[in-house]
Amino acid sequence: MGNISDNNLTDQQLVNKVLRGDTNAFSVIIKNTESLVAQIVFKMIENAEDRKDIAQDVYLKAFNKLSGFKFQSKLSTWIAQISYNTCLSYLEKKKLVFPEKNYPENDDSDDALAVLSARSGDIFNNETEVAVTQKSLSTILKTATEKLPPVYKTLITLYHNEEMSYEEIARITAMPEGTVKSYLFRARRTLKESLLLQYKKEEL
Amino acid sequence: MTTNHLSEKEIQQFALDKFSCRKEIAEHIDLCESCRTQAATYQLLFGEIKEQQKPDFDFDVSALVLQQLARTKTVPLWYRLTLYLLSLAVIAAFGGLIYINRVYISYFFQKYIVGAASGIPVAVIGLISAPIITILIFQCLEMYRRYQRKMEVLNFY
Repeated sequence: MGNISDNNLTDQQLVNKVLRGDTNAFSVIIKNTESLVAQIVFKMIENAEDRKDIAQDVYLKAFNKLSGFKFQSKLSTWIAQISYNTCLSYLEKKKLVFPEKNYPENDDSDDALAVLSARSGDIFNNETEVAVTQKSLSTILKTATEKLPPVYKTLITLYHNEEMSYEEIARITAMPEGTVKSYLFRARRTLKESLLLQYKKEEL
Repeated sequence: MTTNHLSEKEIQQFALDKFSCRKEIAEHIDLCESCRTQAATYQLLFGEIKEQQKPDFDFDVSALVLQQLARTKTVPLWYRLTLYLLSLAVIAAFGGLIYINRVYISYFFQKYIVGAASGIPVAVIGLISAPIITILIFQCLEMYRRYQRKMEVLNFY
């Protein structure tokens, strides 16, 4: 266990401690970055057993390459980058980087939009329906997100959940910033269309 | 104000941050119900994404990694040195055997390899070996490029 004061150390102090042989400091680094690594690994990898191996691999790589870390970014960004690359290598091996999925077409979105619009009105009128709609919205969104390609899922998570900037995401994924923006735009549109399509189905 | 409906990109911009988007976009949204509903759908979506439960590993990552690190560390120096020495001894023994038997090896090579190949026209040998060598060169180049790309991604900090 890392001692409590270790939690307040800067990235540089933690790295220096690890390089001097203090494995407890590395434990603190793990605790500080575990949530971000989990976000990436869960979005990229479906198999639970593989996630365990990948999480372990990510931190072993980070430990072995720590002396080469030049503090040009946050330590968490660097570890997120290792996580993303490790997952990507895994997906490349399994040829799963961009699985072909059938995304909903635009055709029905106008009708569905009307349905959703009507529902939004109801949300403010009936409290019970608020809970039901919220629950169903959450389920629909979860299902729609799961259908996205792993890279899109990760970008959505990093931007909307982790509130990272385009620049940070570009650094983690080694994609140009423009590509990150374009992928995020497509992913959001796909999610919106899935949502509208699902509402339309429910209405029918 | 723009009279045409907003593009998907503009609606997303408004939904992401209505205060930093262009004035015309905000004005159009105020007056156009269709675009307003689309923006509201996006806002609903973004809010819901934020509300999604964060995933968590169902095992202790720290314990797992530290255990692995301890295991790597416990390989003693003398063990590694012995392994290196043994490997060197095997290589030296193999090299010695080749050196001692060089006359027989040379005779074998001349008789069976060069002899067998001498019956085949040079043009045929060339036709067979040229594509093989080309493919090998391309594979090596590709392997090197992939390696460089991976190293670049991992080591630029």
